[in-house]
Amino acid sequence: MLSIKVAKLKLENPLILASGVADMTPDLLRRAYKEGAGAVVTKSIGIEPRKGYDNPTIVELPYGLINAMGLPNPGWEAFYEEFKNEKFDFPVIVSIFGKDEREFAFLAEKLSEVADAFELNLSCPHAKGYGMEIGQNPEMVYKVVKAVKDATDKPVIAKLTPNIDDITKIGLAAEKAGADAVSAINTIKAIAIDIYARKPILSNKVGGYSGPGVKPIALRAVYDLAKALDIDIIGIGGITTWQDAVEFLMAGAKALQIGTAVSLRGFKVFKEINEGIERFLNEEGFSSIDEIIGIALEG
Amino acid sequence: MLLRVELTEVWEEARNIKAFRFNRKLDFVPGQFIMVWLPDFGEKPFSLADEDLILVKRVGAFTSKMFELKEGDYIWIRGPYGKGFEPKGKNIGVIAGGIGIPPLYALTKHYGNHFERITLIYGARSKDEFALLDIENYVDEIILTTDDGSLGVKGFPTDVLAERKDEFDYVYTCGPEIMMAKVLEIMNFKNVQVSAERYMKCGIGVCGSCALGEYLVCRDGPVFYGEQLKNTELGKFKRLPDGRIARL
Repeated sequence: MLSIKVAKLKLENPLILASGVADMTPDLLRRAYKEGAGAVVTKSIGIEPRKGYDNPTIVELPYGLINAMGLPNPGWEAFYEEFKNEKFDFPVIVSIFGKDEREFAFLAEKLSEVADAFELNLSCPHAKGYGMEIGQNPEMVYKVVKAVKDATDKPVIAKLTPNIDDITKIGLAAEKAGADAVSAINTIKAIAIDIYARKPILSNKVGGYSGPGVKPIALRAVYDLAKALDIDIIGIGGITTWQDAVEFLMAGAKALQIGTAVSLRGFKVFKEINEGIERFLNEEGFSSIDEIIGIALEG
Repeated sequence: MLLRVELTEVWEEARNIKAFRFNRKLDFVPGQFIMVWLPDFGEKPFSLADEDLILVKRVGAFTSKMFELKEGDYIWIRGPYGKGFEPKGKNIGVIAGGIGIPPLYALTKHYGNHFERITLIYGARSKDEFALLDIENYVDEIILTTDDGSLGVKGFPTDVLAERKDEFDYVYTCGPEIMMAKVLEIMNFKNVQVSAERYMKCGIGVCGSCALGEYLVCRDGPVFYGEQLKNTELGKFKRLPDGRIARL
């Protein structure tokens, strides 16, 4: 009832562990699957090892989190060495980031053997020269997606930034370049100031806002993308309850990524949301999840 | 949420170890930790030794800055976080190594009435490195060990545990990872709780920096049951801040 095909991947259920959330190691990815995720996205992998920013890297707010981790990752070589001998019973989507289309293509080529699909980080809001700085430009998005498509046979998902006037512009650029899906949204650029310290809390000063507070914005982005694009859409942004998940599916998302909610509620959140969706489908007389995808776009 | 607190007492506990008491009593479980932020200098995790007390060992830039702080100065804290100890067993052994003493001090002080007899086996490199020795008020017996033989038994706490393990129906430990791995081996991973440590960034189960096996030290720990750690890398390897595997 919950199984789904998205970006040419077959998932037992539509929930995917979002990139950068408790996904540092093969054991943690297996844990997410064991606790109910249908697939996982790894931390964003780049060319060189990066330790990320100094702490504080996170601010807890009443309706979410602001983070500026700074893309910590072991670099593609150490990542490849650790993952090449691992076997997974579920799709592993490898997130990659680079400063231009050449770096993205290089990473996709080197990591194709250990990836069931790639998610392109075109949207991290706090790393200079990376992520959003590339992803706000439709021409760059086109170039990067095209270069990665040429470098790998694996499905390619473009992760989009909400920090732009019209997200469909970059969604359409990704689609035109041959992306198999887009995922949206990454975090919203934000800041928090401690009034007694009289300065920004994060060592990087600005970070990305996620969690329940961004959900309506993310939902609107997914809704707009679903209207404009033909390729699959993976919804991300503050999904915490099964009701949130159903909303995103109805707005046109074929699968959903869960990030901040793993921190707020623990890994058990995957099972809770899946059970809630299934119960809803049964109670409302649907026989499969496909029947509600995009149902709110009609009329 | 961040909380600014004022330091009410600062004192030297041992060589390179200072204690900091602040003006807020936290509702905590022994074994839990807080994140301490010093604006412009960073943010690090510290085990609570008591509801208003942390111990800091000078190891780098952040802790050196901590050492400059005096009574009346401010620190910013968030927490308490993580899973603490669960009181189990009647005649317990408490195995401490070096700066691993704070959560065990909290355990004996706050959970003492759960136990019938508490034996502390506490090791340090040398006689001037023991901290929080007023723990004698909360335990029935103390055995100190030093690597150099300058005080107590010459050797490691695990040497003493290996000899006396049959006296204890439950063991609690915190200290250097190699020592804790040895405790697990001696106890065959049963009837033991371990307060583990990994490089930690967010402290709230987001970033995954503190991965240990399939667990996050900040959320699933820092206190684990021995059985949970059986097939993990504890005692074998750790990870660098960038996620690469490194030797202990």
